[in-house]
Amino acid sequence: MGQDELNTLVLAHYDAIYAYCWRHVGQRELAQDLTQTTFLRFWQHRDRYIHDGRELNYLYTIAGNLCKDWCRRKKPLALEDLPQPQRDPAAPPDDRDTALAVQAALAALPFAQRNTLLLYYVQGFTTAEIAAITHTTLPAVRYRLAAARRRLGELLKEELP
Amino acid sequence: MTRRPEDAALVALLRRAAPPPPDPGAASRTAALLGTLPPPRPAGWRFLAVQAGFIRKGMWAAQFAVLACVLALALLDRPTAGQYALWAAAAPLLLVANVQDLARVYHQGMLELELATRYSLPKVTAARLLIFGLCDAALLALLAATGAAATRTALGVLLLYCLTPFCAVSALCLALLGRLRPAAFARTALGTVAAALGVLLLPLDRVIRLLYAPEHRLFWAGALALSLLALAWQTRRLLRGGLPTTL
Repeated sequence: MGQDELNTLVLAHYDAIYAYCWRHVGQRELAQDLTQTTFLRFWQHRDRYIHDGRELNYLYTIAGNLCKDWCRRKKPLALEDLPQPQRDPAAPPDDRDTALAVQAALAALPFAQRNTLLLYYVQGFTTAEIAAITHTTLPAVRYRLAAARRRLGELLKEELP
Repeated sequence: MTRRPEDAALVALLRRAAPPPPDPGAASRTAALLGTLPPPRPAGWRFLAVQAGFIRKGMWAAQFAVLACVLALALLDRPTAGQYALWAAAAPLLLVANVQDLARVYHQGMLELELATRYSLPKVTAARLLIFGLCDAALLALLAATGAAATRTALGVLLLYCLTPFCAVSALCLALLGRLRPAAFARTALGTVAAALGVLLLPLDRVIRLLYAPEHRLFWAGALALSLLALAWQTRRLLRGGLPTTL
């Protein structure tokens, strides 16, 4: 893969990877750092990647591992040190509470369930693709998806119709 | 996107928690950063191929020349009991070229290589030893196969006679490599090879017959086992030890 191809790859997938990281960590600057590190790791280990036109899957695998590491390392913060939840400033005011509730509910899910849920519902991957991305089995993906759906339904029962 | 009709509400809800847009220049900054990075390090067989490229072509040529001379000498001679001694002596002779090149790269060139290729010294040393070992294994197999055909002996017996002195002298050379300074090493290692040749070739005909008698092959097998153990131990020590260099 040459420099031009890499530029195209970064520009094509930066926003998707950034959105995925943000949904895991909930902080804009941190999500940007993780996105940059994702592309850095991809570039450093590109000889391990077999080019079959699925760069995006490989990028999600790296990004998922980085987010998982960050979630593991995350230290408890004092209440006053907590970052303010960030949302799209362009969103209408009545959506803000809902967005914050969704963010909080996602943060309450275990990493594996949240990851599966985001890849399936937000990023649009199939369960087989998620199994490949997360290096797990298809039944495990289905189980995590069902558990995440159930838990999210409980946490967001006021928001869901 | 929605996989089940009842999930439409969930998807819509997740979509409402949209992330804030990233910095406008973040993607192009990332692309520019990646452009400044050096190319990735080769790994696996590509790494071995790179390391093999650093080894002088003269070393390979010297090894094949030694092998050709030994084979020509042995094949011209009539099959006698003393021929076993010649085949056994030929094996450590193959080490002469290895010893010179290993000393050059270990004592003088390895640090530069390590810095230039960004690998640890034990990894580079291990790669070199693996390359030398693979080459020597091929040459020894050729030597033993030719010897077995020439002397009409089982291949296993010839391998026993070739491998034992080869492993013993290799272990001695590795032991010397970790202990001696560059100038002293090459002389001492070549002296060791010469001494091994002397021990194997000079004894009287009666001693040679006794040494290579079929009932003494158990002794050779024991010596081979001990040599292999010594070789493994010295390799481990070399890979873990520091660099006894003048740098």
